[in-house]
Amino acid sequence: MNLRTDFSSRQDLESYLHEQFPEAAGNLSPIPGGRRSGEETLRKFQAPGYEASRNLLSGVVSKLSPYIRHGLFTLREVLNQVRTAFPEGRLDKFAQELAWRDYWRRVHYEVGDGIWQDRERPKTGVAYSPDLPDNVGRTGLACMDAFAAELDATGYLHNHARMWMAAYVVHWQRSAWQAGAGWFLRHLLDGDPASNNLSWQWVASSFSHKPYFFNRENLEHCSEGRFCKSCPRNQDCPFDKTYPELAAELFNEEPRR
Amino acid sequence: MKLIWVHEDCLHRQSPAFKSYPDAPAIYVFDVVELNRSGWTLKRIGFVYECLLELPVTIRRGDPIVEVPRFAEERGCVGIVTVASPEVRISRQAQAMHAEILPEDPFVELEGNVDLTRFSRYWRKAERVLAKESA
Repeated sequence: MNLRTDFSSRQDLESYLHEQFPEAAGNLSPIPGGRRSGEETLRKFQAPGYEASRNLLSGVVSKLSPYIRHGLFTLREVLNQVRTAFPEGRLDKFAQELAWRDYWRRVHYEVGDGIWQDRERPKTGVAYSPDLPDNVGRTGLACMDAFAAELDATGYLHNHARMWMAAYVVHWQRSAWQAGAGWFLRHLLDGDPASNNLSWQWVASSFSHKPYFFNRENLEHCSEGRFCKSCPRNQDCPFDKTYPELAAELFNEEPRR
Repeated sequence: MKLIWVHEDCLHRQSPAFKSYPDAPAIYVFDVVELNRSGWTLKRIGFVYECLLELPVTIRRGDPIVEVPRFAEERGCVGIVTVASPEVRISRQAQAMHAEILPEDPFVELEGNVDLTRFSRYWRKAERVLAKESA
């Protein structure tokens, strides 16, 4: 039986999808699919601002990843269009980030389902639970709970938020990266096993020389303090330490410098 | 006439399959076993669905290995064509339906062996190519 293609509204589509896919949790994302939406997103992207501000949650990022993931734009097309739109702009960092996606995909072609296994021995000396923590979205940490809520509501997160959340799940909560990767893939509109899993492995140090972790100063700076002031755990923040203190607390091996 | 099997990596009118076979009919099948296994939320299904609504494509749900050849027979198509994917599940399905598999459009053409053990090694090669283009 063919599925419907005529809908009077997004609400109509959403109701239909609930009928056809009753096991699928949640509702539509506010981010619409389709090439037209992707083109609008690309038009809004002020690429020359990317390099200086991309690490800030309020910074300039393309938000094209859901469209790239599903082949609505090739990486090459994005790069060419951005170069044409900003012939004098500094685009090297953005080109490098596109290259990261190409790199992950090449690795996926090479290792196949091996992207679900540690590419290398993790450099943490820590044992991990195979399950996602029970308190995802209810940690009491304003930042982590806000990221989980945004992921659930929209299917999109800023890359820095993904890295912080992945580091928190793996290094602080000691869940296996595979549990976190599966969680992200259930929600992320741009979720593809190559970029997603290999980025989790990069954080976990099973595909990098050392684990990625962060501290409060880093998160507070890049989020421009939007979470910490109102956080119920402001005085009891597990991230409020120096990097050497955190490394000693989180890992049983000395991380490489 | 061939049938284009559109999968989740190639939801665009300019994908190599549509470019090579512009007049061919096309189908997308929501793989229900895979959706249940992976636990895709409705957001993800909806995003893909909205992409499909902009394509000349028939949409079904079920097992792609069954539904795609069945639709090919219904439409009198001889042969199936699709686009390569690194997903083992997708390439196994493509092989099971004896599909012609077209390569993806490359981001950057790199000569010789590319060491993928670290991004930096890949990037040393890729950066040179990209820099030449923008010079």
